[in-house]
Amino acid sequence: MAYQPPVLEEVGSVR
Amino acid sequence: MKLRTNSVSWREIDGETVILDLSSSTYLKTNAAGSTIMRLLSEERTTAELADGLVEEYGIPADQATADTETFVAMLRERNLLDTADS
Repeated sequence: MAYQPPVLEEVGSVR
Repeated sequence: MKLRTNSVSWREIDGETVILDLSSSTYLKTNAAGSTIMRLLSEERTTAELADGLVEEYGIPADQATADTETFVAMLRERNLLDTADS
């Protein structure tokens, strides 16, 4: 598996 | 440090992790390497232990793993997703 640095993204709000 | 469990839920889906933070009503996601760290953070961990997890899983150099881990942990901290009693 090619390594990609860990990232954290916001998908959106629950609403 | 470890993941905050109060009002935070997460689930791995197809190698990525979806995180629901009820305190801020936001959904977040991580990629595969982020999922590796998230899994480890279900228990108390040091930055070195998290970096070791990336080295073992992906075979990357230790210094790169440490730098990437510190960046990711900063993202988690910025989102208030960590228990920071003793980090």
